[in-house]
Amino acid sequence: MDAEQGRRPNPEEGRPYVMLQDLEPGTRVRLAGGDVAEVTGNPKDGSWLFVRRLSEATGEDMVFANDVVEVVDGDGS
Amino acid sequence: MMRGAGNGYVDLEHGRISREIFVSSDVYQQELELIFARAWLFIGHESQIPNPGDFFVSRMGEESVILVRDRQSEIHVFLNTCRHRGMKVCRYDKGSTMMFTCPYHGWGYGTDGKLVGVPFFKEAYHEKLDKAQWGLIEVPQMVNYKGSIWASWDPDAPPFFDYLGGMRTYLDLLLDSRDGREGGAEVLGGVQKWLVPCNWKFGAENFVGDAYHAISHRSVDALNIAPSGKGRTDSGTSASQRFAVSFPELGHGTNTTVQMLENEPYTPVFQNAPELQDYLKNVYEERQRRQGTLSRLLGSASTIFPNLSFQPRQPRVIIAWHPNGPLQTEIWHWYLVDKDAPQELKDLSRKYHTRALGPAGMTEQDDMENWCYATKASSGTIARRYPYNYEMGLGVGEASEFPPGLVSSVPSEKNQRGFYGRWDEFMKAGSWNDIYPKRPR
Repeated sequence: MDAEQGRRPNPEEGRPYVMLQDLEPGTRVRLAGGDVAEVTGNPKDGSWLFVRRLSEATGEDMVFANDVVEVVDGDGS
Repeated sequence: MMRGAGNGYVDLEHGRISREIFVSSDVYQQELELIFARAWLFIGHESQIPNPGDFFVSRMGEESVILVRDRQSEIHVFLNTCRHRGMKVCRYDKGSTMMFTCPYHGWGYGTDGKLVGVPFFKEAYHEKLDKAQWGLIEVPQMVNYKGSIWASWDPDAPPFFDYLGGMRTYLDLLLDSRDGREGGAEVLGGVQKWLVPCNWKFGAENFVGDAYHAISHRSVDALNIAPSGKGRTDSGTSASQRFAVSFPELGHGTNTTVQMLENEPYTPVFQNAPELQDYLKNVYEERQRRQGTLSRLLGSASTIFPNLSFQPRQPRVIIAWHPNGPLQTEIWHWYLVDKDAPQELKDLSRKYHTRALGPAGMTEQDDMENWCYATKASSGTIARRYPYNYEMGLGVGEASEFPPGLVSSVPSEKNQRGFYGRWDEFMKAGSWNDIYPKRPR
């Protein structure tokens, strides 16, 4: 998925505002703390995403909107 | 015992019911706790939630509940309120979702009701909140009976089949396929919902067995709205008798049409659709083969205490009389058809249903007119002093094997007396122990 998808300007923080509702499974996002995760499911409530962290072998995790920093390409490096 | 407001309002011996129970705010508030928080209530139909994640928002009394099929395909009924600050976690009528998220602070619940997402769980709750204790509130008892979903908030309520008793035979007339196979129905289209300024019991008692009010629908009879173009409904029989059947110890009742002959030949229905006659004749005869004598039961208007009514044939409908304050009812209609019926029959049924029932239906407009003005004319200080009369057929009725139940000819107000007798018992009872096991009356 193109990294531009899901990005909107956020004038308060000066960085892209991530529109959670737009993110399809397969999209990669950077989380607070620096982890990159792949979206595995989106309830499209604007609050939560189901993700799989690329750096860990753990299963599905849930992340809240405030923890989603930006949409990234590839592994985000 | 003697817990609620029931004392003195219901006089079964003389057939008198106080108007207070139709207009009083105090009585109404007690009904919510003593009846609607105890009884088995209809929630919806499983065909409304065929896939994992599907949900339908329903009601139990005044309260919003979510009927949902979880990821494992299990059906649940949850109170529609967040455990954190009470906001509704679902504000849609129906849909499909991965989870229910409270829009207030963001608590998220799985379709199995578990609290799965708490914002700032690490930073603010320091991972000490016990999520397992704070899932959505689920009904303690739920049953899926032939696709119809029922629930009770009372863990001590009797098993659903005990609650239904002999009324189960008549409910089957609604839920079973037209050819006599068990179940097999689906909801046709959406659910009709509208508000009517009358007490919820007006509709319930009308359907429990009021054949006396046929005069109200005389003008509709003359319009020939039935699917065969004559009268209000197709009779579906050439030789029949109607009976008032009640289960007074349970509060349920029905008027039922019974064919007088075994193996009565098919009487055409839906004659406006000649192309469907082979199909309709076939399912009629198939039901006779499957059910034998039982197939002579055709059913009619029915009520399962407290607020669920239905018609098993024309229109084939489930009706919930949701209480909305003492002087308002929110009526919901689910129309049923056999899932495997021809599309032409489904289309015809839909047109007939909306022609006959619902807010714009000709028959139901008559009913609403009566209930609304009766409510208005019963609310005044003077009017409240005078009880309604339920004397018709007082003392008449006998236990019957077929049709099963306490039976009398129609019209009769035996069924209404049974309904209000049970109402009175619920309103006086401290718990289910006081009103169960059942007592014949």
